[in-house]
Amino acid sequence: MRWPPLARRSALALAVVAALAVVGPLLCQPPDAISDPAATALLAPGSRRLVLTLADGTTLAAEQAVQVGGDWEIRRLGKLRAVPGGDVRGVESRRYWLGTDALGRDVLARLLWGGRVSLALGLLALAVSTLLGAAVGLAASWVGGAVDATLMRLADAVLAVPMLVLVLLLTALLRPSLGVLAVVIGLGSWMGVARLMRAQVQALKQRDFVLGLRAIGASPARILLRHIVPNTLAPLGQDAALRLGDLILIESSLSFLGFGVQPPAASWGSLLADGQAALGSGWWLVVFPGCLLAATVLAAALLAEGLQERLRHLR
Amino acid sequence: MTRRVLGRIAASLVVLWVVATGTYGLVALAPGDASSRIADPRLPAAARERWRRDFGLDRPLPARYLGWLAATLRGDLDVSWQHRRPVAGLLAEALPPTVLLTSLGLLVETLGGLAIAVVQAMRPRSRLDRWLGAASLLGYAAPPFAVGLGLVWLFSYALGWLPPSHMLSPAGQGGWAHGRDLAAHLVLPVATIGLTGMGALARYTRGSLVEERSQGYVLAALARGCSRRRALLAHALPNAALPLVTVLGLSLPFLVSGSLLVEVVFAWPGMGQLLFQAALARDIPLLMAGTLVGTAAVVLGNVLADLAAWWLDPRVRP
Amino acid sequence: MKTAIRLVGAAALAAVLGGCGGGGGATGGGQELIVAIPADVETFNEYQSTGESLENAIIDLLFPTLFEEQPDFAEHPPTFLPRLATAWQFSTDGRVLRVKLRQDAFWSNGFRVTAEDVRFTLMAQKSQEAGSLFVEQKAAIRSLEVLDAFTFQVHFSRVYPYQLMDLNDGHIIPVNAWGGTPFPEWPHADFTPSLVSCGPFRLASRTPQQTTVLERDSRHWNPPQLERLVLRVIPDSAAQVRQLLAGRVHFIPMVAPRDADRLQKSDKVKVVGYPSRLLGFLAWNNRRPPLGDARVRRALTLAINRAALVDAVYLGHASVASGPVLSSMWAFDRTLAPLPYDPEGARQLFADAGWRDGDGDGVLDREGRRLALELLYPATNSLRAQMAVLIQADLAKVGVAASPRPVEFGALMARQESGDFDAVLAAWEEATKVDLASGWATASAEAGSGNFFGYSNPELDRVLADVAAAPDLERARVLLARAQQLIVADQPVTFLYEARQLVAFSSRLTATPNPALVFFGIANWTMSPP
Repeated sequence: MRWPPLARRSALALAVVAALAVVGPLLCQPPDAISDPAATALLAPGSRRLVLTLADGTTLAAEQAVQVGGDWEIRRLGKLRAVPGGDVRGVESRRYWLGTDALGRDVLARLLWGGRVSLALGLLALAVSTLLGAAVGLAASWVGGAVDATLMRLADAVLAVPMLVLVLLLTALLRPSLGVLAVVIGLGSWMGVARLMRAQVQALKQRDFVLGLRAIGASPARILLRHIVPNTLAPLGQDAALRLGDLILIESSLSFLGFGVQPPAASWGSLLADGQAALGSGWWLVVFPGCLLAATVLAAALLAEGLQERLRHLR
Repeated sequence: MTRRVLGRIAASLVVLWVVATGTYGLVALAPGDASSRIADPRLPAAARERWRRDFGLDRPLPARYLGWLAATLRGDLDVSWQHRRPVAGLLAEALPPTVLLTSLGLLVETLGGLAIAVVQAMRPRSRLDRWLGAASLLGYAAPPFAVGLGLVWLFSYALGWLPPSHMLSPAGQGGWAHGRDLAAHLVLPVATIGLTGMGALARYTRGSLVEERSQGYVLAALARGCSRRRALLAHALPNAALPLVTVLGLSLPFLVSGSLLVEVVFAWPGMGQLLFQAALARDIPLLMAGTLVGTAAVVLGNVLADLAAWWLDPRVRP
Repeated sequence: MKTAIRLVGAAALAAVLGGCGGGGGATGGGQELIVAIPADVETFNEYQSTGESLENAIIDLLFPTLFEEQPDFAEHPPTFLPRLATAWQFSTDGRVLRVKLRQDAFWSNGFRVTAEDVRFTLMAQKSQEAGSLFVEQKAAIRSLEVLDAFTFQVHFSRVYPYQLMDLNDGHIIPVNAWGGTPFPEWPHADFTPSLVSCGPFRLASRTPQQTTVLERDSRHWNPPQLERLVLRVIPDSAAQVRQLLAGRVHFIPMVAPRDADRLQKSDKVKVVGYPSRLLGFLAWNNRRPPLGDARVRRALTLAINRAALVDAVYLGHASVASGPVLSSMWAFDRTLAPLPYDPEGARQLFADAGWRDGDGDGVLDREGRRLALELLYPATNSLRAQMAVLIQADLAKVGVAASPRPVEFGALMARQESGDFDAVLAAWEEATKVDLASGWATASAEAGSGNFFGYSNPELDRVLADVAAAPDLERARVLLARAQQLIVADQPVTFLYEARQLVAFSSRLTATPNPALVFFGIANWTMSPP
């Protein structure tokens, strides 16, 4: 059977996004390159500036610059100014295709680098929550009885502790870093996986092949690892694709509250959150990261749906 | 049977205790305490110490924890360190706005999601189906705060129809005017919750509806001359909606704990903001009480659901 | 399931409708000023408060002080005008102060404001049990003796320039209303229901986390023109700005520099900036090895382009700070200038201290250790996040690897207290009292100190001890100048900026906010009709 076209297309979109995130940063300047922040802040998409580096390390970003004799005649922030040629160490023309942020950083560069962070964070958090949730769900349904009841009640109860409060306290307790953030987000979102896993194993336990294996005396560990777990992988994978988007969105919410990734690193979520605070100053700060974020979440969701459809046909 | 029920309740209490203890440990061990809110570092150390003593923070952690546990078991929720008022009163103020907002939000989410799914399932793969599918996906993929801010921008500033924030206008009003005022303030936050949740729900339900459509009992109904709409609404929907109950069940904590982001965007005076600020202020009595209320609601809900299942379905009855 | 939700919704609706009934009739917004505040007032009792400055400004609308401190600290310590006190006189030895109170001041429950209230206030301020943060400040006030209902005498244990200021700090509270609650219960007592006040305004109604309405107290001796002051809680600062532009709020006590520039373009809004006494600096942990070396700290300062930083982050609404005393204060040493931006000089100083890029990785090292440090700042503070990023970029140019680290506020405070940091981007609001000892003298365990960065210079300690004993202001001025030079030479911190506070309000409002307090002179503010 062929893959449904929707799934293929969204998988392709995800692959493009991932490729951009991996390769893109190599093509542009580092996302934290700052030159003359006062004169390059909040430039509209497509703007161009000539950046002069002076001997003492300062930089001047000029709208226009002409060399008259040995000296430079520049226009910076609308004012004309002469710079002695001996002071200038380098001149570079920069084009900001997607504009700049409040510190004059290139939005395009930050988006490309931010994609890495968003995807890495999402995937890491996904791995943590999936492994933890699957382990809990498996333990609960296999052992059963009181262990089952307690574990599942615990999952419900953890769900009741507000996620953001949990994250806040955990980041205060642990030294925040990208890894810690991902683990914390993962720790706050394993409960759904546990439920799913438990339901799957519960169902599989009643299937004829498992009953048969038991009857011929296969060891429980062998049944579990060789026969039950492989059968849960497909639904788990589909669920994971769906949740990848959720986890990326959670990070953007954290950034909105000021507890997301750490500067100078940026993720699409933190770029969007920063952009909304400066909404009056530049639409490009909101629109570009917003679109990329939405596109990624969409692609992940569609992929999940495609997977589901394929699974249904396989059955 | 009684033993099973009692056992079930006992297990729930154990879970409640585990979650509460975990939260207590987390907030007590996180660096900083109630005195950290006095930002001026030039405050004499003695004054900071006195402040700590006022809240019993000079005692060792186990003693503090046992003291808190004993008071909680007595039903004494203590006084908030941040607001200097009984915690019970604070919760009583914050719960109604939260439950009002989240229950309406969930209602809109559910009804909207079902409606979209039914319309889509009437003619699968039609143009309308595809457009609605794309729209619900967009709702799902947008960060909630962005949706909220977008709605505010459109309806409060560009069109000027609805208030952008808060639960009531500053000038107090009585009677019907009060109700209208409240309703106007509710529209945008409820819409934010509804729109961001609707998408996932609609896609989920459409899938199962389309599947149910091809089942024998629906075909039989159609063969009996039942209209397509009726077959879908009266026969397929109840079956397709069954798994939804699980999805909605997962929303139970949200009902009580609120959505912090929606509350921040709309300056809504609910549990989300109250507990978030309590965590920032290391206000242990308030944070613990809020956590307990949320957890208890969920645990209780589950116990009741199980009891109801035992009652209704003889097969699972022990 | 659906029915259940609807029932819950109905129940909640009933509770909300029932809960907020007592609002009274609607009023047209003629003389009504709506103020946006980022967080709700937590307490109206100053002696329970954490001392957050906006909360203080609101408390000042409801409770009187004895004197009104004037913002005239540019030439000499601030002077005082009458407020609750009408006349005051020091004894010839300067240890006893006799104060007469005005007789037309009433609490909102009808009682007169008398000398007994002042005595009770001092007891609360000096109480170890009430949770007051004023105990140490009032230490030099030995006792207060009530002579008659409107006259009292204060006995000081020593003579010093700030006797009036120390007596005046903290608002007078009602003994008839609050005297019934024993001090040990104060940390857990709620004083807000039926709040008894004496100010230009009184508390009219309150919906926690939403709205607090203050209305004019017409019995006040100087009643304001404004009828009502509505405090609206709006946590998101971008939302505050949008609501101001839409005319839904009329006053924002503090706006960010970029918002201020945007608001200035609107003809519906006025933006006023004034020196805010906020001093921003980058504190280096003087106890941690390379940072204990004054050459290293000086080099770090030279490497940071502070002028560009102030320009880019504050957009001209701040100036580069030169030292520990604000340039707007009488004690500021006018011969001091900020250290220059000099990356070459910084490299030289690092080299003198033994730091070179031995392995060619772009980062300085010495004996196998890289010069890397963490730059902490409070998460959620976007201005300081921008500064941290700019500082990191500047330091990278001279080979110092700095990593910005946003830290949750409570955790940051705890790390400062325990000395667990390399560098912290900090700012504090300077008092109108010039007090270098509390921030820069060698910290002792008991006294507590703003010197969380562990700076210690025995010569400075001697000079500051002399300042405390200085007989007159002229002598103190000379000694303070010497102290400033010592501190600037040592650069225990890198002095960054003196910010202006930016207040934005509707152009319907005629107001004069002022460096002393946001609501200074509110009695004369007026709102014109829309």
